[in-house]
Amino acid sequence: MPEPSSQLLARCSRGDKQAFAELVSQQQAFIYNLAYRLMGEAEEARDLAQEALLRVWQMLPSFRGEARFTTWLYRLVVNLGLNRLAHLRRSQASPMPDEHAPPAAAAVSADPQTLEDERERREFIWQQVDALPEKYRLVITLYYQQERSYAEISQILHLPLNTVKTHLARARHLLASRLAGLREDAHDL
Amino acid sequence: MTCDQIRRMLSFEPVGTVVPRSPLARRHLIHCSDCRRYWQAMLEVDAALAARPLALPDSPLVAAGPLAWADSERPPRPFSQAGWLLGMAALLCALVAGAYALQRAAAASSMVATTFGRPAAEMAWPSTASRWLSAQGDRVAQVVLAAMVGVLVTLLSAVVGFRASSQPGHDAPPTGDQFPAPRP
Repeated sequence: MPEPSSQLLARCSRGDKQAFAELVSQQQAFIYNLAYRLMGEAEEARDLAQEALLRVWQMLPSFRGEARFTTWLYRLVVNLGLNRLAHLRRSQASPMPDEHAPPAAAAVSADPQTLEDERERREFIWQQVDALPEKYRLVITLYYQQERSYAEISQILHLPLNTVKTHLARARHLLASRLAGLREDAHDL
Repeated sequence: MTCDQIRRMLSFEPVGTVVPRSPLARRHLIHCSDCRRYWQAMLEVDAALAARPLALPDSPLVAAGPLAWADSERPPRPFSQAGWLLGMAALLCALVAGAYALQRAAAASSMVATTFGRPAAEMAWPSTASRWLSAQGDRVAQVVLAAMVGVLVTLLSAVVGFRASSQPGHDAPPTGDQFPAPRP
């Protein structure tokens, strides 16, 4: 996880476009990944990532360096993404999902009998992650893929530290339960 | 404890833990094959999540024309460092000029008070009051004039600094794709 140097950030703040292009090329994979995991769709993720980059360019002069730059950046992406999701939900006029309802398991494309294959197993798990509620999906992505600590996730998501730990534990519990359940099914066949 | 309680406890084990730290959970796992399967699945989940590749965009997010939108989109910085320095210097000059003017006004006032070599107290009151008012008027005018000059110079230097800071950079003009505007 590359953390940009303070010199690079200072050059970006002063309006150096070459420096910003360097910053973008350094961070775009992580920004896009977070956007994709949040939005669940490539086109939306691309729009979100681009909007985030535009905001970074506009807001960098106000970045005071109190938190790590990437923490600040991910918080920006998450805030923009959540706003977009809320807007999409309103425009689609669909009922809001119940935050407390247990998430529906993703359709299992893998044949349980082939789950012994490691690649199949991993794909099954990744598929299940995408089916998790937004709050769990975000914590999982930030923890495992963006390699953020609990404290940083707490800052990014504006959640208490213990809530972050609980979200991560619940997400792992759901995933492990589904994998173990599927194993049982495979065993019964 | 029930299996469900043990599993929830196991889910709070730190990521990467192979043997649960809780003695209760360890003892339970020895006897319960379902929970052992669950714990094994938990370890696999951790490994799979850690190995998950980043989702990458089909093409770079900012294409051939890097930051073509930047000049128009970024709010200009209000003042450059040089502008601030210039403004501060002008303000200092205005303050010095004001102090000098005040000193001169005070000297003029004391001269008025001792006109014709007599102390002010010995003069007839109408002429004393008239001269005193005149001297005070002069002093106020000097101060107001100095302040106005100071404000004008400061504003002028701020404008110069603002214009200098909002000048476009010296990068080559963008070519190719431009950064698309985000959806509303």
